[in-house]
Amino acid sequence: MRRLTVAALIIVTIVGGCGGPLPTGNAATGTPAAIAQVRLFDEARGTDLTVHTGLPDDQSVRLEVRLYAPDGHRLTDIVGGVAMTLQFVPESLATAVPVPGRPLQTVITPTAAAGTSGTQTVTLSFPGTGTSKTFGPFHVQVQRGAGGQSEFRLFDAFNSDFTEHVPLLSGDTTRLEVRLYDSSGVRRTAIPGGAEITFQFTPDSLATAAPIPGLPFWKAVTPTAAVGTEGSLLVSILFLADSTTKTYGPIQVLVH
Amino acid sequence: MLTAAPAVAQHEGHMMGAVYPPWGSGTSWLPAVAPMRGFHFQASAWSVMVHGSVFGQFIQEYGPRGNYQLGSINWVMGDASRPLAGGTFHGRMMASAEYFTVTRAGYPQLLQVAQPYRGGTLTDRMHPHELFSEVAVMYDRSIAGTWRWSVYLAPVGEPSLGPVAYLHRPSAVNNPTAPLGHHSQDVTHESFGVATVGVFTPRVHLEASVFNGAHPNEVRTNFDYRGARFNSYSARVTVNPTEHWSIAGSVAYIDPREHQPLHRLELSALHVARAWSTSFVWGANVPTDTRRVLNTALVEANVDLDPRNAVFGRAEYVTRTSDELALVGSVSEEVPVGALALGYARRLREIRGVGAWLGARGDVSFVPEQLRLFYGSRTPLGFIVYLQLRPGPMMEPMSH
Repeated sequence: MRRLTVAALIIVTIVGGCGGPLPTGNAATGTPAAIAQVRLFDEARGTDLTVHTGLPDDQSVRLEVRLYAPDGHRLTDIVGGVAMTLQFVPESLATAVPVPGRPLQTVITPTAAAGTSGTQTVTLSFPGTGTSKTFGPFHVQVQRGAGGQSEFRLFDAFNSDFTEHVPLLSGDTTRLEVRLYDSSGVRRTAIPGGAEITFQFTPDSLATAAPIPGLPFWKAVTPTAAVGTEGSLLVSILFLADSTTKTYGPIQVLVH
Repeated sequence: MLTAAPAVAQHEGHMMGAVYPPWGSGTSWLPAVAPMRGFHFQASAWSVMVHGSVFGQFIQEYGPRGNYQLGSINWVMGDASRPLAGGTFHGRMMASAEYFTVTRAGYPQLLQVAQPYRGGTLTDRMHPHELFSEVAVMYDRSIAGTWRWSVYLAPVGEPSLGPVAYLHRPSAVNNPTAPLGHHSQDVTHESFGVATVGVFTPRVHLEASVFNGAHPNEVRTNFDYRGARFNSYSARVTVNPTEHWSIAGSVAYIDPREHQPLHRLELSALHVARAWSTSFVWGANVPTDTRRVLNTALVEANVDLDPRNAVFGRAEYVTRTSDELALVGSVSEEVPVGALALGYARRLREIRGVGAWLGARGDVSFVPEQLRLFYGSRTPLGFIVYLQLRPGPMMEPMSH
């Protein structure tokens, strides 16, 4: 009996935690009827804005609406297609501009003063069935932007500030430096444990970013798209001390 | 010289046939006659207690948000005490392997508070306990007459808030899972940074704490001190009017940092008489921004029919927020839910003071119409079957 009991507990310990799949696993295709909930995300940073969307008064936020089935599985494709609109209350709170080719993304720009609160409502329209679903309200507040106190800025070798816009010269290589600042605006010249920086361009064909030996906060950026091509840049910083990642952007990029 | 015998853990002396002071989890009090199970080792001047519980369980929860799991809910606790400078010094540690035996995602439990998980949000699961959920020292000493003072310092431990944590309540000895109201009642039993001072008589215990109000992160094997501050406060009054009752009321201001600060209010009454152990708990979170009172209430009982058979149950009412269910924008901001669980446990064998219990529990949850879509019905069902190892019935209380 004792052996049986001990054996049973050993088995449970060894296979401990064996169970059904978690809903955070595979994404799936679903019908409009299968959509039971939505969650809102900052598309650039990946942060969840469902409970509270804070809009800096000096920049826009690209909002992504993610769709979920009742069991919590994410639905990435909707049979018959889906379109999305946002309504703000009060209407003067912000504007939402659709992102071409991304039906579940919209760029939100605050139009009210910092401190103003309101709500946003998401309406999903389904061309395939002619039906719609509404979710919300979700809390929104316009917040004072970081302004000159931003913790991240991007410069070129001539100390020009490229944080808002990166002009790339076709056929030329531009060296870009990432600079980080603390909350009081003092530049952080040392990162404990070090950091790894990654540049991601959208579209991928826009440009390449090569590391510069001995200069971990610098990248050599060369445009690979035609003159006039427009896109964006996300800068991700992996802090090696605690394996956390921060992503900044999107920063507008234009090939001249 | 080392001796060992099943004994009353953490209890230090007799008073009218009961034990005193009747420490429960942290600095909380149990009824003085509460049956605590554990082993007692006397080593030199040190009195060492060890107690714990290891469940090997299969959980099945039905409905779209249900899941199943084979795992182990477990904990072990040690307390070493000795006389020191006219008082009593305690060193304590509590540990759990649940992070490995029910995984980082925890075990399935319908309507439990959603938790962050690998960058996303996981619903309807109870998180595992910390690998070390209490590392503490405590000292108490006489002031005058029957009055004593105490100080409790815990890198990880429990502030003076809420009832005795459910793991240590006699009414939950056969019930493996956390209450749905856990996050409004006794969740602070794993706080990373606690300091408590108190005074007490045999009947009354007054205490106050400062503690780090941040909820532990999803990695349960580390010590969560990043950004830790003594930013939260609590006070508790406990009255044991007879040796069968322990009645407590507490209030706290908690700054969890990851969301809005809140006030927490608690009332509890624990009763033990012969084979019956019963707990009544009311707890409420009051966020400082909305000032809405989010009520939870629990009635929990365990009845030892005889030394080999027991029945147990728990009934709960909880006001869930849509955020707690990860359903913001899809359901009302506040949703009342309930749960009822009934179970039976039978002791198969007891070897060297450790009993092996086979148990089963059925549960039904109660959700409003707006949650039917997510739970498949207004009354989703579930069950647990388990084998539990725990110290057997105590022999006699130890005394100084």
